[in-house]
Amino acid sequence: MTVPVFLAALAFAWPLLGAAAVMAAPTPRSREIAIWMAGAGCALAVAVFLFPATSAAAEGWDDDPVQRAGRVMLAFGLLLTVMQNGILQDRLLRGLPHISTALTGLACVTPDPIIGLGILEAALAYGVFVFSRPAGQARAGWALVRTGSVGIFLVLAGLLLPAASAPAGLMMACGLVMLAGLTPFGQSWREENDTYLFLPFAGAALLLSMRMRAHGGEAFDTALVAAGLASVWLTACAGRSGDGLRLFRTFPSALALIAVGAGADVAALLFLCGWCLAGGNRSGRSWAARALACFPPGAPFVGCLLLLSMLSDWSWSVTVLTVAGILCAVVRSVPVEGFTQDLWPEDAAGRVACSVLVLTGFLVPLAMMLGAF
Amino acid sequence: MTLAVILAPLLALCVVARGIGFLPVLGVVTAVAMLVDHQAPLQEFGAACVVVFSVLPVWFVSRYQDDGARERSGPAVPFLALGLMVILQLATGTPAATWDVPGHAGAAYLPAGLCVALAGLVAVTCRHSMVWQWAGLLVCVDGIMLSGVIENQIMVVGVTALAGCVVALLGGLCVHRVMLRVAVAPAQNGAGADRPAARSTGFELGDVEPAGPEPRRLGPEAVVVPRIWSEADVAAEAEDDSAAQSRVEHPDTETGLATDQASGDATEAGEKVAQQDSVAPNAEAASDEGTEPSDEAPKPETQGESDASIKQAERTETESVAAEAATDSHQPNAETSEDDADAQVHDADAPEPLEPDEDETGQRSPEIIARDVWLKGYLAERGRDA
Repeated sequence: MTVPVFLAALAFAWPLLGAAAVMAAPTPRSREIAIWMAGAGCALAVAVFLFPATSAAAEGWDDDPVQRAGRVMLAFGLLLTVMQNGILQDRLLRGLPHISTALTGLACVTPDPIIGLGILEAALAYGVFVFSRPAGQARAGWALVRTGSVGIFLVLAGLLLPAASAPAGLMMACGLVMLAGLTPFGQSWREENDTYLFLPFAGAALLLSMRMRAHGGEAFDTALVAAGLASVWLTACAGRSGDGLRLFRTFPSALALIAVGAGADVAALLFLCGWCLAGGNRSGRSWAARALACFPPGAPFVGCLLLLSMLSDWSWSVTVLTVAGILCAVVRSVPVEGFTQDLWPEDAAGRVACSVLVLTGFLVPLAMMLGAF
Repeated sequence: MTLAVILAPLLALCVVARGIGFLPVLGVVTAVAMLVDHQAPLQEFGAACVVVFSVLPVWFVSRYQDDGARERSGPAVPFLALGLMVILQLATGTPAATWDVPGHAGAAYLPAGLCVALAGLVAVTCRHSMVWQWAGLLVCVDGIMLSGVIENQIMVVGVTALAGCVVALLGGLCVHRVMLRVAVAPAQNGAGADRPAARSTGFELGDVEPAGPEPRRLGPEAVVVPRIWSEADVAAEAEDDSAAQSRVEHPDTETGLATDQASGDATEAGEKVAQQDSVAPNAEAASDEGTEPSDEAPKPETQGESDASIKQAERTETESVAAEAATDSHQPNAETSEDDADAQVHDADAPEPLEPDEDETGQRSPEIIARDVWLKGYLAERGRDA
């Protein structure tokens, strides 16, 4: 076994080890251990990105650099989640972000996307089991199972249809949109706890959608772009009401799906970075709202530029619609309270997130020029 | 293409139209459709999974009361499923659509599994009842499994089996937590429990003040044992009219309810049943409305209130059972009042019954003690999702 293969295997197993350590540790020390384990997981993911296991590609395990970089984003999302959390009393809830990140990372790298879907279903089942244990959460848990399972069944049905046919592409796109939690088509975000599961879950769905493009065909791409555009324009129309803020949380997911449909995988990766580091329940913070709204500097801003450059080759009308939708959404939906304040956040989690967002925004175009992607 | 393959989408439409009752038939037909062509391990595994996922949930749901009263979707839902099936058939099953596809070149075929899955998706999306949605997801499992077996896709069959396990287990857990159990009929009244009215009565609501300060919610204080039809109930119904008349003539009879019950007045018990029947529909509707917000977004304050109400209801239940024991001890032939008291609701605002007598509590029969323990467990279980 070579060192890169060992690193790759360790990177997948590490969040599971972290979950075991966090659940076994005494409650007062659990947060500290979780941060250390998640930080080591980030370092491992970066190491796997820099030193890929080339033999894994020959055996069918996916070794696409965008996928590897996407797993780095998932690892940083886990780090941010545990840094933001306080000390959690519930052991299962404490280990949930680690386990869901491990399972979703494994789902992204499997040789067959169908197996990845099965692993996503397992992650969903575990997360829902943990969420729905308290009293009164049974129906909320059932809603999550229902929506996630419908998405997975839709994708499976699409994969069973002949490749590159229109029904296959439409079914797969609808299923992936539901799995990615794109408002208003996807999961209902009820509690902050949902981000323990759905930040990595939606990220994995985005990464899987890149791998299913070959089977989906043109209808798949068009349906993804249409769904993303619909979500962007709904965000713009909803404004700053409660629904508007709920839509704004999934703004980077919508742009990432447009990027996947347009074939701009690197742009989708940058939006995924914005989703993992600033999406979900962090979108209420001013620095996160700026990042989500594609303000410079930051990964979503660079992703926006890349997306528009790729979309202009794909379709001019869609490009104009996308630009107009993004501008309207930024003007109408970005929260104004304290928007210009808190340029450099005071908490450690916010500082780490801002640093990673800015670094990714600079490094990814540089890596593109060097031919890494 | 076999007859079973053609029947499967029709049975899936029946599930969309009528509910989970058709699911076992669909499972058996799907298993037959898998096994009729080949009997390789993949087909056998798929058929076994389909039968298990179709039969076991229906058997499990049969132990709980129907929640179909919450269904508000219209009658056009099966036609939506049928329309989607036709569109799918036109898009994939016609010779023109499959001309360029290797393996299907020019041959008309019915994508039966995907049609079944589409019907299940329509049921999940359009039906509001939890059991119906569960049935829709299980129909999806059947359809995807059938399609995967026909296409010989091992991975799809495996992933669908995993998804079926997840859906069946988590759905069963949710059913267990949100639905009312069907009461187990006593041995001597087993035949009476088969009456249709025993199933149609969701749960019994009791002494609601007509001019109460606020509508009742579906809390543990509003729920007691589901009604069991017995000979005593029939006798109580026969006395319904006379009891209503006596209530009009003596409106303050209820304030001394527990005292009268302790004295073994069987007519009083019949009066209570009559009052329940007249109050139940309105209060049930109010409790349905009250359930949904608590399921959607439970609040800590609400939880605290419900915990307090659980304790209060448990205390009231204990006291009322003790009062029944007093009835039994005073009048050995008062079986009628005991059975009726089983079905009555003990309102938290109801007049305070007699304090339990320690000597008489010691004389309770084992059946009453067992019922008391069951009531406590049942109320605690209901309180988890209140």
